[in-house]
Amino acid sequence: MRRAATAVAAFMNYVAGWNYILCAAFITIDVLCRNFGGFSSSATTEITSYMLAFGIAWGLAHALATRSHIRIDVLVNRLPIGLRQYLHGFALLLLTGLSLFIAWCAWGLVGESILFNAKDTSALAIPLVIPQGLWTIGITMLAVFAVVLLLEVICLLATGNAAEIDRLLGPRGYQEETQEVLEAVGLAPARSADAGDEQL
Amino acid sequence: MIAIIFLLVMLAIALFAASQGAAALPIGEIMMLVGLFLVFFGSGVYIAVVLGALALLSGFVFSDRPFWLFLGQVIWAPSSNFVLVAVPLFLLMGEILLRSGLSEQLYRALNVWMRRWPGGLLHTNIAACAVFSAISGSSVATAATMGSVALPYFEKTAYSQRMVLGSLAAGGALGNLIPPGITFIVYGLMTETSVGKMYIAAIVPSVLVCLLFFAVIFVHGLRLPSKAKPPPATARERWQSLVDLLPTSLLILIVLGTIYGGIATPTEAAALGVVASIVFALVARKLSFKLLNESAEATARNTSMLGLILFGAYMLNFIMTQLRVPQSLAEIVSTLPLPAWAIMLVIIGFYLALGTFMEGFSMIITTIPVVFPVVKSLGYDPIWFGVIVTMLIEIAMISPPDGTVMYVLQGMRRTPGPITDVFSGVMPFVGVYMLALLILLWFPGLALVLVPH
Repeated sequence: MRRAATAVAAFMNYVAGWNYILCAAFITIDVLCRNFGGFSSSATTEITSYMLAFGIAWGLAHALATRSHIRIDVLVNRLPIGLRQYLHGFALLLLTGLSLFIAWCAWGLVGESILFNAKDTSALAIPLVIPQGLWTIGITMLAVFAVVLLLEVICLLATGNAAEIDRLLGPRGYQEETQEVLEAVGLAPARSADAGDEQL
Repeated sequence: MIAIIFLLVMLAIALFAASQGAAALPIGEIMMLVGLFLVFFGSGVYIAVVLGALALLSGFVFSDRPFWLFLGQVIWAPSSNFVLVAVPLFLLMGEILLRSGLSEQLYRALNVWMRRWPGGLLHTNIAACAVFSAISGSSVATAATMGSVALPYFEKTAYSQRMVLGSLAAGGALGNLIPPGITFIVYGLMTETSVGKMYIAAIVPSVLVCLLFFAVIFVHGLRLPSKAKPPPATARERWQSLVDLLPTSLLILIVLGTIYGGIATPTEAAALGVVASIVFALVARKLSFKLLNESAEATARNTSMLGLILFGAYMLNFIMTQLRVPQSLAEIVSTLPLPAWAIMLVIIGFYLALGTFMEGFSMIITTIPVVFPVVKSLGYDPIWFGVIVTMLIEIAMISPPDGTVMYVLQGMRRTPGPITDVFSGVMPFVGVYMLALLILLWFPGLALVLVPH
């Protein structure tokens, strides 16, 4: 079940990421049109703001899955694993609670927008239900993922598998951050090594 | 360690203030909240959750209004803020540039011009980082990109390993200070300060820090003159280097030029930058679906990480403002029998201490709602304080023993060695960074001189 949720979260995160690329293209076109074509979509500010809300919300669950949400880990990482697993569980429990609460707030906001048939003030008068609804779906996914993860952690606590809990919830260390950046620039080393030799 | 000492000092000041008869302060409740805060932080709860939980707790305990009905709107506001759109866009641009190999050309080109100065290649490290910072808003990306390019040049040379790593880490710490930085956007969002104006205000401090860095290397170079000077560059080499600098200069023109020229807002400039960096990746034959997909993934993940903290912070901020906490805190501080600069020094100490164990963004988002009203009531300029906060975060980022930038560099080293090499190498640079901070404290005008009123 967690695997399925992780896959959904990862997919939603990719959608969120490509959404930012689209967002950049959209704003660029608007700026170019405004300066050289003399016209503008006149709702770019609103639409891209909604794209941001969409992107933030849809990436939330994946960030939890990849343990990217920030915790203060100075103390936790120094504790023995027996104690650490409970702290991981506690942190996740609170996160689940908060994400459920935020999701509830978000649904409330959507409900109000439907009730009052709220539209934004841009030229297109976009009904707020659309962006807020998409946003709420993303937040709800965070809550769902947190619940699924919490259930799994409870099972693991019951069976005493502390190492697995640490793997699922332990904050990302410097090694992982470094590894990620190194992989990203990993394209370069072969070529830059050549350049270095030339220099010498 | 620094953090503990600092907490003790703070406690002493608080007690001193209480004994001076600042009786209006509900010490008990505040202490309880601070205690809860510490327990949550200590037990490694997610930062966003700490903020959110505190908001709900203090809301239910101290407020008699149905505040929860408004929270949906409260967290929707930052989610759909046009200024904040710049953050994922700058992150995206950094991710694309990180993977596109543009930095290598840049490094080679600058090297032609600087390698004969005392300190040689080390200057190139700083200059390349500084130039790269002017297109990227992230310190880790700057250090990582330049590190991957620069370190091979230093293999088998007589340069001090410590200085090499130290100068790269220090160069990374320019990433957020030299416009366009993401810290400024988040600060601007939370304090409703103009991001564009802060980018202008950051110019003189950026130049100051760079000059100080060059001075450190210059002194180091004079003390340890290298045996063989590299040959002077030929005219052809110089022309080639100028051609190599072209893409970077164009990017700077597109991103910063449009902001300073008043053609585009920072968000729009960021969008232009993303498109331009995709084009450059295409020209460099590095563009692929994989590159874009990986950049998209990392951008979305990091933005959401920031977003969740913003949710928590906005909830807490909303409740706090309802309860008038920042306002009364600002009033109390302004009646303290201390001069404004002393309180500012305390605030700076507070950030330096916090920075030893907290990541930069979470630090700003968590503290600014409370600190900012105090700073404002002391009569300091919001734009100036934005620059100061950014510098503090950068210093924290390269202060041992914590700091992603340094660990990234350590991970890139070809010649193995202890992490303490990076630590001792970076220390002189941390020192002059602090010096720059003090200079700005003494002469706030340095930051504000270029800002239009």
